[in-house]
Amino acid sequence: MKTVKRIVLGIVVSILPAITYAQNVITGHIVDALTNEPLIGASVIVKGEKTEGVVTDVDGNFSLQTYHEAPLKLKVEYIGYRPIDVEVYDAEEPVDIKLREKHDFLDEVVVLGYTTVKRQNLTGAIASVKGGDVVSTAATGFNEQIQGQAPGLIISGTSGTPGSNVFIRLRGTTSINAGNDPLYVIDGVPFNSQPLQTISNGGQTINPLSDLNPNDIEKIEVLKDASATAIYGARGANGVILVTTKRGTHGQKTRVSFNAEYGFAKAAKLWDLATGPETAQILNEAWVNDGKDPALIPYRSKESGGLGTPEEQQTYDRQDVLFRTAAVQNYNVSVAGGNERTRFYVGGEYTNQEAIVKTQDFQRLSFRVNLDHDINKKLTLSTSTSLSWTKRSLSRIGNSPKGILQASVHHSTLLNPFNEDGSYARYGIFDNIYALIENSNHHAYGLRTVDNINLSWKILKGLRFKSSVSLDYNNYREKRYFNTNLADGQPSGNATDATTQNYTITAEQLLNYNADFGKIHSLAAFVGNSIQYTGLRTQSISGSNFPGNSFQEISSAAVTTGTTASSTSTLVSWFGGINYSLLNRYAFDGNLRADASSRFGSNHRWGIFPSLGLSWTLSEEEFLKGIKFIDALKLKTSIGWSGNQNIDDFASLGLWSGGGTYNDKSGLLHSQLANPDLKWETTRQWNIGLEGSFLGGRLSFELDYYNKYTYDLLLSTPIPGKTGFSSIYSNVGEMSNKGVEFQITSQNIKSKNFEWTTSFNISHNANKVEKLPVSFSQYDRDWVRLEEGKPMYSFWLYKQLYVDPETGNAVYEDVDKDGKITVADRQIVGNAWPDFTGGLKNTFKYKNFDLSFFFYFSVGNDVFNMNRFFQEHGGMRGTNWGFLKSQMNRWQKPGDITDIPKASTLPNADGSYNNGFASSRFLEDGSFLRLRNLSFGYTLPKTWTAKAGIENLRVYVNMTNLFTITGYSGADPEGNTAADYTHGTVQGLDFAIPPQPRQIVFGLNVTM
Amino acid sequence: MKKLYIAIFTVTFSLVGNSVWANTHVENNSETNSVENNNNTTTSSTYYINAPRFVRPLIEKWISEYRKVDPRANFAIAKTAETKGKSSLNIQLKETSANNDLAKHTVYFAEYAILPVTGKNSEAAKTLAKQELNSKNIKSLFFEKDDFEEPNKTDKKAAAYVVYTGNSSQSVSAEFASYYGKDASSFRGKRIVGDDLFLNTAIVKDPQGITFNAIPNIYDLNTRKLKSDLVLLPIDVEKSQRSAFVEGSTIDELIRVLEADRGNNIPVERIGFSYQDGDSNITNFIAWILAEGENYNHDFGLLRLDAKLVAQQTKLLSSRLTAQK
Repeated sequence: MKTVKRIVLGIVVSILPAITYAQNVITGHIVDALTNEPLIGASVIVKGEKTEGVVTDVDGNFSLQTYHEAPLKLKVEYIGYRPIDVEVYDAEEPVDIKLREKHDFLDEVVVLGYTTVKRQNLTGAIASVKGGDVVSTAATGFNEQIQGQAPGLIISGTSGTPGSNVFIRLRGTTSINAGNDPLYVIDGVPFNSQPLQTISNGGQTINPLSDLNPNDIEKIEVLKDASATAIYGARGANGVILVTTKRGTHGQKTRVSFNAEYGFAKAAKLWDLATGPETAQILNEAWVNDGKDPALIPYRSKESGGLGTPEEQQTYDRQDVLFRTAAVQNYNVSVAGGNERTRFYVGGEYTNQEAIVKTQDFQRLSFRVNLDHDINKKLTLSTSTSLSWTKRSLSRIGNSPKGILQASVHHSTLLNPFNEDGSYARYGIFDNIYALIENSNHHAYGLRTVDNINLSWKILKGLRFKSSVSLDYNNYREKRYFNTNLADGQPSGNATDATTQNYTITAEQLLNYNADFGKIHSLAAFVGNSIQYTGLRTQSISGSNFPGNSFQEISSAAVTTGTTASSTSTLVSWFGGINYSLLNRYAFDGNLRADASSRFGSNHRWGIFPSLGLSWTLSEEEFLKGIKFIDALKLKTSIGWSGNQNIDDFASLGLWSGGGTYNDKSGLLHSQLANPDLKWETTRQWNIGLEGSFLGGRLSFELDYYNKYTYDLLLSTPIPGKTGFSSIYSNVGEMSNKGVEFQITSQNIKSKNFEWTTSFNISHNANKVEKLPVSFSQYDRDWVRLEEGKPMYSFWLYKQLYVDPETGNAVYEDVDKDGKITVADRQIVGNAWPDFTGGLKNTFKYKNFDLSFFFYFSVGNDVFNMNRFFQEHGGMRGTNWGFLKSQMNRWQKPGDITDIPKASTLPNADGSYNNGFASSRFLEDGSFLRLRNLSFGYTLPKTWTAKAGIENLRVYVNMTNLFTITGYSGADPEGNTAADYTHGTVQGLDFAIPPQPRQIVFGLNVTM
Repeated sequence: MKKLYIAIFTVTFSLVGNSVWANTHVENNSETNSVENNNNTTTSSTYYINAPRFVRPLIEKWISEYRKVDPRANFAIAKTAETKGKSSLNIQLKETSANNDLAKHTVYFAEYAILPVTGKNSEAAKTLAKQELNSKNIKSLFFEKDDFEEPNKTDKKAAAYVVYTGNSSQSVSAEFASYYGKDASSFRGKRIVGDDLFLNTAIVKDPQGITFNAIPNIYDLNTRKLKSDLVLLPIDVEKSQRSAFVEGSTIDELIRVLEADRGNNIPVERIGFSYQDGDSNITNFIAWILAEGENYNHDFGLLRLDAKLVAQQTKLLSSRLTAQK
């Protein structure tokens, strides 16, 4: 028996090495059938044995070891390409496969907040933007760079200052006093998009999204309808923008990519100012028109006691002093790779953008490390870590008389900026432009880290549990010093030093289940919980009376004051969702989120946000299957509720404030009444849409109609004075947004040497304040009005009908017919909402050349041209304020037909003023068509670069804002001087804002 | 002592087992090792010829006949990856235009026809038996639709069949696709890695399978009739040609018809050798093929070249031989 055992053992021993020997190696090469470009990451698996499989490397090659003997069956797959079955009869022969692109957009996988769904089974409205489409436009924040690329997303660059904030609205505006910006989620981390700026900068704010390096972005998903956003509950009412950054992939050869850009920026258009002689002429004319003695006009010969004749006046245009050709540079390097167990992406970037106005620039140094490691077959550990440092040089622009723009543009051109002794001359409220440029000392330093670490456990096939912790920490320090050479530094210097810290810690647990049951049922479900803790702390110290201009630290100041403030909030959430598809034809999507926020009153702390979605893929029905040119056609609808919790942390609490000093004794002040009933602003939204793909995916479109209704708007409502307070926040207002979005993409030509694709989108949103107890104005000047039945951003002005050709007086509409023009005659004459916005992009590739151009357009948005309001003053503002050249078109003699009244400073008989009256005369159509980006590149032939080990080398030139077609008379129809106004509730006021520059950037991209 | 016997037995069995396994493995990867083994006796100046299997019988015949003319001639067919890599002559399956390498020449020696086939008892054999396939139908059966291509009735039927096509550079698939104005990447169905002869194996195993092949691969060169497990898909040809395509007709009849009139729906392509100029041994061998060897074309299922082309090429080779001397 023992002998038999030994013989058996011997046989086993003999067979084992034989089995080892039997392992076959199959090699091959996978390329794109049209371009012959290698396909990196294509999977090659032995059919029926999923454990035997590989992916192609960076050259499209693979080497597959298998115990199977020929003939064996392989499946070759690659996302976006038609899979191919291969039967290998000769294992020695290389498997060289050409895959053809599959233009079936419904097969695309869409990343949602907590799950991924095939586009075929998607019931919501979601727009996707690829990372490559983001970086082609020169801007510091990706939210500015995606302008015009996602229908329904209105984005407006409020200023030409790099790093400054943008106006962004997704499917309209839903709130007045809570935030209106969408929720940003970067790799699963909620990203705080509120600027931490505390020092007013003339109406301009910084863009917190500039803290993120756009080069790191892989993909952006814009979640628009409630089916997609309700799962973000109390933060989803304004839409959600999901950003996925780049990561390494399995089996990816380490790839190094370097990108360098250098270029220039310059204002495409500035203000056309009246010359010194013209200014004098207008002022003389106003003198006469006001009925004063013509012999004593101010600009008459010096011999007669005047200031010199108009012809003798010099012209001092200060715009050339302020504006410059700015240098723009960006350097980005990234390394990505992975083996069977570990994937990595490491990125680093430095950008330095000078503004077109001196004294302003933006610098950013950022790093990112994204790591994934398969601990074993069940557990995967992932981290996403980014760290960025920013430095901004700032100066006041906008509505700030001592700011650089007003000192440059609004100054009268006949006034010499220097006194006779060579010192700086100052006139009226304006500071001297030379002094402002030479002594500007205002900087802001940001340090931000956004991190996520998560552990994913594959419990069973299709069942996965993920636990993650994330941190968004932002430290923002501002330091401004006015020395004694500046008007604001009088008499002995003035400085502010402020630091604001904001942090959000989120812990999240998520259980996902995805399964396909044959070809009939498909299921994706998830349930999860998250706890979010947010803190905000500000410390600010100010000093004045410095010993000298060399002493700039506040500790040197004789007088110092300081303030501190801090608050925290917590959000606890439970959520779950299910997406079920039958026969890939009928899909149901249901989501539910319960949020509890510490920001709301104790009586309404929890909010429930459900959503339902349905889709019907008509192209899977028999009656459409025979129509070959239709690849896919889907009808979808959804309804859901989402909230807005973007209010102050302690908004519902009764507050006592310290600092109520009385007789040098400390005391407390009751600063806010409690409102335990304060609750969410809730938005109900329904959506119906149709999307389709035709002609083998060459043509695809999406059409959506949505209806959003927001109720329980947070408004300040009056209360009896005996309470000691005049108002209290409560939920009383209502607002609606209805709109249509359309997007079409066409692959016009695709051949081996030439490709041409076009994409176009257009969207319309109609906003209306449905319920408002009392009309009220926004902004310091009461021109922007909130009124029931009217849209937000409405302009409340006098309506100028015409200029009387005989008298030269402006004639305004007398609304109440009382014969007088008073405040009661002001009316809403327009609004800043565009009727339509959209984008058109064309991309061409011919052999190694590539060309793309992207137009952005906005139609029907009104802009109140405040520059004209102040600089067509007809003499009203005296000698120090200059005129725009357009003032020369004023009425000057009987019979003149014009809309600019005569120069005068006195009121008319009806009580109106010809000049200085906020009227519809200054409200202009701000429609524009802008060539936002033109990019031209050339990729060197690989036969040239391969010898140097370079996989890809492209040289290119990117041109931004090359031209703008508009009837608007100002420098930039997108400018907004009140970007910092409460939650962006003022839009379309153009005043002393540097225009968005025209940029040309030369770049080099090398991949090894 | 007993233990020692057992140990020796175990080691011996182990070694024998491994060597048996190894031999089997090698045989599985090569059609006939005997040829390679024979090559071990050849000198280092062996000229290897890289050719698909459907033309190998003809080339082997040439090699043996040419050896009678020039006993020192040492040509052999490459059958392993190593010898394929050392090949002096490579089969060219289609007419080529001039290339940048002036020293590289192609000399054609025959033409070959490609016909669609299926397994004898397959579903395709039954369902397609009565439909004569014209160019449009063949495109629908074998190729993915172009994005802007008009649909036709055959489209629905096509989905029922699995198309098998060759994937290697020595497959006639690219030429078949090219004949119908398509690219090889646009074939429907499955790819075969290996010689086109394996396409027959695949369709015989798959009742839904259809393919096409060069006629030496689908006719039995001994019986001169279609291989017993295959059946031709009916093609829309001239009335006068139909007899050559009916069951029971021979390859000789088919060649005769095709040489007389090519027909609209049957791809016929030139086949030749591609080689580097400069070696008189190769030039002499090719000159002999054009003069003598070409006479064997019909025996091995290939069409003969137009006499004018043969004369032109012969003249060209003659001038090269002069230059090489």
